[in-house]
Amino acid sequence: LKIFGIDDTEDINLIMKLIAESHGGHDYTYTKNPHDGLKQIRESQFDLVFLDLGMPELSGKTIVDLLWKENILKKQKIVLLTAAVVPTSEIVEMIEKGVYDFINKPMDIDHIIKLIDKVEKSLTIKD
Amino acid sequence: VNSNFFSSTLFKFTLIPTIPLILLFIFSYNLDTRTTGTDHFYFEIISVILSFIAAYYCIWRGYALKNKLSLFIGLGFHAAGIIDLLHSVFSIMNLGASPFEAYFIPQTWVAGRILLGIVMMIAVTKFGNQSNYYKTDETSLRNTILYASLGLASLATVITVISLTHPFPFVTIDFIIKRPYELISATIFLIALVYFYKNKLHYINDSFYQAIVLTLLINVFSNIIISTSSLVFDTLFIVAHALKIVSYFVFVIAVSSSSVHHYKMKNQLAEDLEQANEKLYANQRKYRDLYDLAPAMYRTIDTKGMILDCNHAYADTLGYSKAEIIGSSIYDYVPPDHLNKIKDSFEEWSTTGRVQNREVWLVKKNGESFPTLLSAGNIYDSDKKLIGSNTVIRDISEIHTTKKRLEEAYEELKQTDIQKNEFASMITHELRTPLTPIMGFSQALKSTQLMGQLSEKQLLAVNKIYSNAKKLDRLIADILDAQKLDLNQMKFIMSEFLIDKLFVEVIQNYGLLIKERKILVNSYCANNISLNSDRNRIGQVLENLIKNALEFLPVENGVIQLSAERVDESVVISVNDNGSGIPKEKQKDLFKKFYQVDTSDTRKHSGTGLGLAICKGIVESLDGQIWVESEVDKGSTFYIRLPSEAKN
Repeated sequence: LKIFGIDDTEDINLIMKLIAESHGGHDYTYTKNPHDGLKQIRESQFDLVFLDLGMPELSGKTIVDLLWKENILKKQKIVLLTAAVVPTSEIVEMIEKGVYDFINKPMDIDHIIKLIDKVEKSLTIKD
Repeated sequence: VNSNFFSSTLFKFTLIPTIPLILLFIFSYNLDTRTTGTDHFYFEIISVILSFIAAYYCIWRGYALKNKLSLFIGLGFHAAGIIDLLHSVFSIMNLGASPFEAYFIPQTWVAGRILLGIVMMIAVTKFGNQSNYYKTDETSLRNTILYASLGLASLATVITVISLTHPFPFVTIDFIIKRPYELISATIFLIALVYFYKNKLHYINDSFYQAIVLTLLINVFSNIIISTSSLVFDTLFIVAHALKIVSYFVFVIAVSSSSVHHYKMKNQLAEDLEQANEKLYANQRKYRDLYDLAPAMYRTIDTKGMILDCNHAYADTLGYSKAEIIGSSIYDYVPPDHLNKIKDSFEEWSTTGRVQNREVWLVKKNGESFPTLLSAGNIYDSDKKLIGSNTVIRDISEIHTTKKRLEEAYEELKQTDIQKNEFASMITHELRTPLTPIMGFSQALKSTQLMGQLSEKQLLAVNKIYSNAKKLDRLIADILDAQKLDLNQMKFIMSEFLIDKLFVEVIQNYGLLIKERKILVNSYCANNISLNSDRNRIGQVLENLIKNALEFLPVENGVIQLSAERVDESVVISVNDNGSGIPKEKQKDLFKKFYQVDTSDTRKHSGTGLGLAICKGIVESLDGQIWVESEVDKGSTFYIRLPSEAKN
């Protein structure tokens, strides 16, 4: 799988990369800069994107909104990660727009592994 | 009426003179004494004087009491007195020399009697109605005097002229009744007497009326007596004259007594009035003081808004003198920017009559304005029409300032609260961010698949890192839960679930720990007890209670019992342990936030003191109750009672 991560915390990117690469040898690239991240989503084709919700300058929610407006949100599966408390209504709104999943930090590694496996499986069936 | 009459005082009054008069009549008939014309003159002069006295008494009494009856009789006595004077003058001038002149003497006597008889008859028939006795006004009284005087003067003149012009023959017959004209006057007096009783005047408890009866009675007798007398000055003649004097005398005495009685009554009334006035004045003073010295401001206004009166507090507070305020308009004490509001308020009052505790701003002489609470105390006239108000005004500056300060403090607190919540959100976010790689990497290290095999010692270390990081995560979650409960923002997802299944799951979560510490966990629950509630949150509560129990269990033989039973419309779940127990005095604070039973530095048990507060918050949000029963060294039981069916 081609997986992309956007998180302003380097260490979180590293653990995600470790999981993705060690488990099933997926291709994991990441950026700390949300603007760069948005640009890459627009330009490249990823299978799965882990997007941090709370980032300075450009939040995950804004990125989701922009992609939704540009109609390219569903081009890849986007999973939102957050350390903050997000109201249920907001989660529902984003899921309805086409966000694939919503995970609270600190996340359980097993959960991430299962999620990657699920996406891989769904893509295989499509192919 | 008759039966009353015989037992009345009037009957006795009538009886007393009647008996001697009858006796006198009988005796005098047999006496043979002669008198002269001079004797007769003295008799008449006495009777004239007495009749004038009686006349003036009656007129004076009638005028004072506005009693037309008394007035009319007085005028009648006056007229009769004049005729009697004429009669006495004729008799002393020895006019009886010629038969024609001799005719004048008895005829003027008859004229006086007839006049007085007619007067009495008119008095008791026309003025005898006691109902017009009090209502008489001054004009009506003057008119009566005028018309009665004119009428009586004319009547007296007519009667006198008739008697002097000799139209009727002077009759003397040789019979018991020797003078028939005298019998006519006796009859007139008798008719007056009958009318007196017919008009029920004897019921009036006044010696004046008793005098009328006696006078009438005596006059009937005296005229009957004289009608039997021969022309000469015989005994009967003298007796009749004497009786006439007696009747006048009785009248004077009675009217005097009546006047004295009325005078006393008037004095008594005056005294009563004075006392009543004093009481009234004292009462007025009391209310005046209540008004004047009241700490609240009072002003009395009319329906046009003019101030008619005000109290000291009003004048002092506004800084004007009372003289300046009285006569001014209420609008003179209103700050310009509040004028319209007051006008509306005043308009409302004058139409509905209702203004209570209205906030109104007033302005002092020095220009300082201040808030007040105003209540109208309506004043009505006798037709219940609104004519004004005793308005009470309370200065609420202090309340107003305090309210303002409170509002400011409240705003500040609200801001602080927002900041606090923002801070809590921020800090939990910031705590979780570094926790994410800690937990992620330690979990990865534990996983052979991801990072390869670790030595046993290394694995132990990584496990410790992971479990402590997990504790920290749990703590952050607790802080967030407590905050949500505080703000009433916790969302609950209701579903129907079986309690025994939830018990199994909750116990499983602590499986490892229970095994390690060799704790016996029992659960008692019928398999069909279900709840309609938030399953996860109830699970969280039970986990918290078990975690709590685990903390305090003895090192060996620790037992935890979970049970659930249905009680009425609710389900009671209990978590029992055989731990150290909680002292009674500390139980009530147990569910307070951040509360620790043992707060000493050397305390054995750790924790944030949030667990039970969150339990209480969740249970109460789900319309339930939570409580504890505990005994030191024996253990504790926590109970939660929840409605079987959710309310919403």
